[in-house]
Amino acid sequence: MSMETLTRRRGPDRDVKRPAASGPGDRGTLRRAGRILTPLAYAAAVLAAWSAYVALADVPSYLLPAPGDVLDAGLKLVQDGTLWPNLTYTLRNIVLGFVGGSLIGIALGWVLWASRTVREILAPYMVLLQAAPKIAVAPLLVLWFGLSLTSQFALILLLVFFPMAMATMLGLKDVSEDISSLGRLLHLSPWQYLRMIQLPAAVPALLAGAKIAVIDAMTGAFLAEYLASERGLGYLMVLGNTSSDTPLLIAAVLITVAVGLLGFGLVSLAERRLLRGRR
Amino acid sequence: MKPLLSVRGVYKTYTAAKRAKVVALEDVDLDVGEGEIVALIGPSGCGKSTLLRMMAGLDTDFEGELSWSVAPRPGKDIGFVFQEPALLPWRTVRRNVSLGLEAQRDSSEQGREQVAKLLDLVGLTDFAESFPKELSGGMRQRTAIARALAYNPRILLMDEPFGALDAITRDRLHDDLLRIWESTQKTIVLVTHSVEEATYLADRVAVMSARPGRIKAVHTVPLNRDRTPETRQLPEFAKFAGMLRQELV
Repeated sequence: MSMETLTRRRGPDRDVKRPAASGPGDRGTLRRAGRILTPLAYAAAVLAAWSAYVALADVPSYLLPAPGDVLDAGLKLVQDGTLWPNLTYTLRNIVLGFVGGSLIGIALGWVLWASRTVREILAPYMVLLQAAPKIAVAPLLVLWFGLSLTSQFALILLLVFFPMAMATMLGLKDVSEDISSLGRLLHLSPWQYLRMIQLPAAVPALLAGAKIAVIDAMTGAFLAEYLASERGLGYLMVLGNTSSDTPLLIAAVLITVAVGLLGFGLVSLAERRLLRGRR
Repeated sequence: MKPLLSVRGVYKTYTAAKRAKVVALEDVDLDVGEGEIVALIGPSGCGKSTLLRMMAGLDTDFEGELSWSVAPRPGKDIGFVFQEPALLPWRTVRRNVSLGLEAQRDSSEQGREQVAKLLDLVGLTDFAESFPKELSGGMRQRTAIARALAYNPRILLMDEPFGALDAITRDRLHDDLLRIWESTQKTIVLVTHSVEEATYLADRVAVMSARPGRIKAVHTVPLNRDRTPETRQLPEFAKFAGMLRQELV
């Protein structure tokens, strides 16, 4: 008892810490609240600075509209029904491109892992293809496939397959010597080995690749629409730009960012669920 | 009686850096009888692990003969325990142990019972649904031993299985292994660099020398099969371990 009082008296900072550490439930709630409040505070600070700058420096709206104008533009998009079809159009392209590109990437990654010859022949060209700036490749694709969905998908696939192929190649190698010996001892068929050992071992690498690929899929989708489309979020940006409707442009950019965060968040969520219980 | 496995005139050479020929094993002869525990002991680099991997069929690049009284069926007759547990981190303890049965597409009731029995034998029944990362080092190695026995192999090969564990855990696992042997009567070949481990566990100890790796002597352990922690206190134990230690230098 007296020890308790003694320790309590030792310093005020000790007592300050106590409420936070009083129970795991409280601490959890605080941390959770912090996780939500911190980004909100961040956003509020940015918005405040933005409004203050626009108001104080008297910036014309076509250069930098006030946050309220951007919000109005966004609400208008929702009200007049332009947002929904454009948003779903872009989302559909992202999903299809991401899934298709991932499948191509995983298959290619497996081939690259399995065959040294293929690896030596293909690897340099894959890197060259990736090193070429996509903004320069995009018009070529339009030229070859026309102003169609095909050219848009070609661009998304081109962006998505590479990180997935690399991640697959690395992930399939991610089996320790002992575990591959175990596979031989148990006389696993190549298919059993792939299914029971290699693929699960590659999951962390695949998810890391998917995080990059999902962002790349979005970049590809917006770029394609920006260059050649009459629909989608990218098209809304072009519309805002060409009609000098800067609030619309910024609203479209912000929606795009939200879509990007959503995709990244979904992959992170998948990661947390799939890697539960692992080292 | 014909031994379960006899090794006759085994040579292994490999080419090291700068094309230098290195003799890893030279004229190795060894018999392993049914139900026997044989320890292979020697300094590091004497080729004892290489010999074990040959028995497992993991290393087939050698000269000489390995003959079995009954040829091992691929994937069914050899249980192997590595120095590291080598568990699959995404599988629970139970599913790690039943990996071999799954590989044989055995989903029978007997298989499930065998897994449950082994988990009980290594004291992991309460941890059957835990993931490897939730276990201690000793528990992981117990899981690895149960995995090697789950498909009822004819022989259990162990490559320094207790080398990475602390002394207390190691002693406990020694007794676990003796208990497993009592209830299964498995033939066991154990690679180790500890003379106490070899003395405590084995019926016979093969001492190897390094460069080139050869069998220097094979000794029968002068202790009866009933071994308990008190066995370590016996004068015969100390004398035999001391003799092995002498042979290793």
